[in-house]
Amino acid sequence: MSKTISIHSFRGGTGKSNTTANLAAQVAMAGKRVAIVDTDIQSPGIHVLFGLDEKKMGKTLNDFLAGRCPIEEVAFNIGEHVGDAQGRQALIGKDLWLIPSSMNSGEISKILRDGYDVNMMNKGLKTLRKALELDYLFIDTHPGLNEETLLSIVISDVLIIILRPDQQDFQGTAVTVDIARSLDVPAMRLLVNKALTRYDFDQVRATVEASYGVKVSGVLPLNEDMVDMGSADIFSLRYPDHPWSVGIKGVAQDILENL
Amino acid sequence: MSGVFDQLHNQIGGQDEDSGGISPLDLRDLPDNQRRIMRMMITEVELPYTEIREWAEDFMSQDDLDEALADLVMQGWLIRMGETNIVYEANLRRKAGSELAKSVWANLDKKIAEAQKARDEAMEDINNQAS
Ligand SMILES: Nc1ncnc2c1ncn2[C@@H]1O[C@H](COP(=O)(O)OP(=O)(O)O)[C@@H](O)[C@H]1O
Ligand SMILES: [Mg+2]
Repeated sequence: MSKTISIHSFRGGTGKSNTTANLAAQVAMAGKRVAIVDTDIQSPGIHVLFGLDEKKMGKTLNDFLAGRCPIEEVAFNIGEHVGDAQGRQALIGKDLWLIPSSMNSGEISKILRDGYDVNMMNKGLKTLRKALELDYLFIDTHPGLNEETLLSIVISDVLIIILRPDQQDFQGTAVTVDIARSLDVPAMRLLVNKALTRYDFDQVRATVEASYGVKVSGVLPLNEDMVDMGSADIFSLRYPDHPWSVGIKGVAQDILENL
Repeated sequence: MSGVFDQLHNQIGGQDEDSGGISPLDLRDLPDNQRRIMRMMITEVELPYTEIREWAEDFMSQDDLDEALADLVMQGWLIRMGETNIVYEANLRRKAGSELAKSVWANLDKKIAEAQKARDEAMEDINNQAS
């Protein structure tokens, strides 16, 4: 049985795409069959971390939603095309696919203007789970709450909500947690990202867990080296011993063992 | 915070009426068993009646299941297909264009600001009482 894991945040720039890419990569490194779907159609970004640009990515989720191709044709095999990035090399031969969203502005505005068939998106996700015989399907969602985010929450076995230690994120996360609870999501985790290194991480974890009644799967530090890398690679593969990477591997372990 | 749900619900629920189908947010208002059925049906997309019955065996009688399915079909959550080998399919509504998203956001922001203000005032009261 494949598990669907949605990665969500109430606001953008929280680290959702980096977290999703690194978690999926770590789970694939453990020998699992993994796909990532970029349902952030309005502001796609995760493809960059895998070295894809508009030319290389070929067919996109937008082509599928417009009825131009089956979803299997959109799945880009990362294990066969890792490029020459130092971290991604580790993924050669692994079973990891990316279903990218289009970076073409015309395609993006078409979806914004006309909407799309949510049944079709849902069927596409189901087809992927079957056709690729997935153990895990990761969904990188658009920040905030909208139709596709709600769909991804409903079909998820696990919802991971990322937040920064910041009042605005705290408020928004409370809304998302309440909605996910009211939709009976089977399992939820919180992941704190961009925590200042001078904080006491154990205390951050305890405070957040107490406020939401949801398990915190990790507290990840604000990471200057990640900024420095400029989205050119999968951070935890390039710098496996960095505290951020150790944290993300802990979350991957939580997924593999408990979820 | 139920105001936020209601606003989202009104906004998402109010648009694009004639295209039929439901929004994931509507799930909250279903009776528990119907929500359980719909969560499973949305995940599986479509299933033969026989498989749904097998899945529901442990927690619902066949009569209750049949009634729930008929109810969900009537409300537009499920589409029933076939005569002898009946198959049910989940019926999610088309995502509308951007006008909607803007108004949802405007309302959500407003509601959260209100909730935050209410909370701040409550905190102030508590602090005042303590001192
Ligand atoms: N822990 C972190 N410390 C510092 N910068 C980070 C961290 N996590 C992510 N970033 C940076 O923040 C920006 C947004 O990250 P991204 O993963 O694209 O977020 P989202 O998908 O939530 O918008 C990127 O420039 C990324 O390199
Ligand atoms: Mg992103």
